[in-house]
Amino acid sequence: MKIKAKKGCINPDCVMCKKKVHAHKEDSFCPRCGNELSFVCEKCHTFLPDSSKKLCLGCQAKKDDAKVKSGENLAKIGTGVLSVAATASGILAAVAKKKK
Amino acid sequence: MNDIIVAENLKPESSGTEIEVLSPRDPHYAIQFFANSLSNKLAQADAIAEGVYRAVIKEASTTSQIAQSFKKESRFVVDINDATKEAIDKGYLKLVKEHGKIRAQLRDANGHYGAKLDIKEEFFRKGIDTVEMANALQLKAIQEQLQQVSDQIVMINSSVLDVLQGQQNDRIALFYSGMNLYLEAKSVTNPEMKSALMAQAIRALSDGTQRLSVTMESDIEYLTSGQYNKLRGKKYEAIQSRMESINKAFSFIHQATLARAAIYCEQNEFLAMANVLDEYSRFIESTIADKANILSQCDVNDNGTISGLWQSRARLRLDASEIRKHLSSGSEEYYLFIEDGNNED
Repeated sequence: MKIKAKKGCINPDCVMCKKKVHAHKEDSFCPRCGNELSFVCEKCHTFLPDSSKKLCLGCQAKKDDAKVKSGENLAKIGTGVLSVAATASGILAAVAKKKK
Repeated sequence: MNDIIVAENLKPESSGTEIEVLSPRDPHYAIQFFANSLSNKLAQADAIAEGVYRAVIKEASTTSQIAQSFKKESRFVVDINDATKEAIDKGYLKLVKEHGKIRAQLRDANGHYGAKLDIKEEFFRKGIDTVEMANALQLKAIQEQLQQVSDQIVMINSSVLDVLQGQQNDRIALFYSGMNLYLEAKSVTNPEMKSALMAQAIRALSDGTQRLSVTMESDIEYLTSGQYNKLRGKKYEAIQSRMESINKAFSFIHQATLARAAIYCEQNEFLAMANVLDEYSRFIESTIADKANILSQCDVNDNGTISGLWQSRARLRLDASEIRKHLSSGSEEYYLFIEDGNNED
């Protein structure tokens, strides 16, 4: 199984945990406090049970929602662009007709 | 003394108020109620244990005098006949009192008054109430376990208080109904009505706890099975709404459990109290312990560390089994012994 998750210290008293610093994948223990490193969420540093996912459930849900929203926005922009283009082509056609 | 620690560490830090001035709707009420019940019972147990100690000492003094008789030749006992005693009681005769002590004065052969001797008034104590004594000794025996349980309750209690403000629904209404019934039961004088109301209060609290447990379990199931993934663009919102419901349910389950334990404690039903705490521990083990990581991933209030909100809740083990073991063994024998100081056990 490919390791996707980042490693980090989950000792609440350690600076590495407070500042949400990620550790190297090869490391097993925190270089500051010596606590055993765990897999953590890339964004919020929440402790993850395994390495199969990069993000915790909350952050993943936020990301998915943002993706859906950006997709919807793109669709809206696309629709807008198309309608503007259609209007412009209509105007151009009308102008060309007048010139004739 | 240990009993003071047990009761004091349960009292909410922010509130210096007494239980009488708190409303059952106050988030501090259940913990204060539990703390008061425990501290009252422990104080009573101390007083009863002291009474037992004094009674034993008094009986023992006769035995000890046998030993002393080898060293001392005699002791003086003032013997007053019934007529003189009655005269003293009615105030016709008075024993000389100096500096708060009753004195007897000796007169020598020449008729001169000499040294004054102290007379100690000894009261005949009424017999020890065996039921009361058994309860007190049981409570003293489980004091250490109660200490451990109360330490863990304090740890969880601080995290549930924030959620409790202004939350209402039908299941939560059962909790308030139970608390109100209990308060009513306390003020009723008719013993039959009192016990009926008390039973109803416990029933309402228990029903409320069960319904909230079911709600909480179904909310956790929703999160663990990933049902929110079906929602497009509203996953986070769905997760947070479920987490809010879970936090709310947990807070009231915690409060209702403490209230039930406190009621049983007040009624001297220590085994039932231990059962309530044990049941709570089992609920946490079966509902939260395995899912703590998922819950901490979903809860914005959890810092996601090993000492985070849900990880620490999952570690809650109210080890009431020792208490239960102590209380269930009917043939338990209690040994009274005297230590160097004035301690008793």
